[in-house]
Amino acid sequence: MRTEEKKQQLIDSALQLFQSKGYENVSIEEICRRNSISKPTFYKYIPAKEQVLAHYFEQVSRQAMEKASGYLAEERPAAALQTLLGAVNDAAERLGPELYRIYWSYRIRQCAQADFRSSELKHMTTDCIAILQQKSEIDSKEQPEKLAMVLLDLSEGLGMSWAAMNGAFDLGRRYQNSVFSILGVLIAPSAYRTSEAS
Amino acid sequence: MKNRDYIDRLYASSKRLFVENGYDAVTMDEICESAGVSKPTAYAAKLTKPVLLARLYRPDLSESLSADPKADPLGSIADHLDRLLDRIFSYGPDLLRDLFRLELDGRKPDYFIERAWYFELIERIEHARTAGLIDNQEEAESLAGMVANFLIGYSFEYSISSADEKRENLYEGVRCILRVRRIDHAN
Repeated sequence: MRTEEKKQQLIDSALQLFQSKGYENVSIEEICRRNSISKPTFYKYIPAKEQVLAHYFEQVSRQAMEKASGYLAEERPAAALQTLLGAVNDAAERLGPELYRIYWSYRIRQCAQADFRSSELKHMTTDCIAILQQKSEIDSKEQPEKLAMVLLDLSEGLGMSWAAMNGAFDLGRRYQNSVFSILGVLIAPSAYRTSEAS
Repeated sequence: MKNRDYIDRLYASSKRLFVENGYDAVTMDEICESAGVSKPTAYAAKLTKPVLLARLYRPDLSESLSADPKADPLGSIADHLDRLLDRIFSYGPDLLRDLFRLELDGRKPDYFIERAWYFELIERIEHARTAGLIDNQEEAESLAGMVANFLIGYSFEYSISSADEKRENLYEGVRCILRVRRIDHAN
């Protein structure tokens, strides 16, 4: 637990520095100075500077899955789906296209599949869609697994386009509109609102 | 006539060298030497390494569609997808990754998906929509945007995980997006 907290703290302060000074202008030394730790200690938590971003997005999807489980327990599948699908894009918009592009370049070099594509996320997304279909809250009759696959791939494609086009469109809104129209959302979109979005 | 000739030789040489050795390992000198074209000539024609790589992935829109767009709008969408997919999956995951890398670095001359191909996709979708085959209520242009970005996401996954290309999954995905009953080749 303490380890996770420490790591979180390092990631947060590194991101802050990246955003204020630009990724290239921030050294590991500077992040260490900020946090009063040594370089070996930093590397114990995060093995390389460029992995700060990867770790951040890993955390984002892990937290989204926890939150979504909570919504599912409260029988709020729409809010759960929104949380699962919106988290990464929201985080990307918070970071901005420049840092998101660095994260994408890193993924391409490492051949790293995003954590949010993990099978757990795919399963949860599939479950949410299946429940929404049972409750007749969405119109699409396609198999939930297929829809989940499409929505997650679309999220990847839009995210990469957004990064490559330097944030030329509203990523969150564009994705949300796409999701609603592909699923054929029949109920008021307010059901998809999550607590922190209001 | 002679003009086309040296450009085609550059395309052919770059294709062979990129596929054999990978993008980074190939130099412009090697491409020119193998094509028997001088470097100043290549650059005068604005043929740089990124341009040559992007050219490999450009769909050939002069290839005719086997499905008649009027009689079989959905079939013609599938055919049109194939024009692009044939390129995307032709050279393997490594080279495709290089293409994505260039795109993210802003070094590739145009967007992942060529404009002319994209505009024709809008047109094909518009046809299918007019024929009442598409349930998704969005405008044809935003539907084309969804399809294009889905293809990018899908091919990105292919490029980093070396998964099978599984074109059936792609057709299924496009069908889910447009919300049509069947998108397939007529034959």
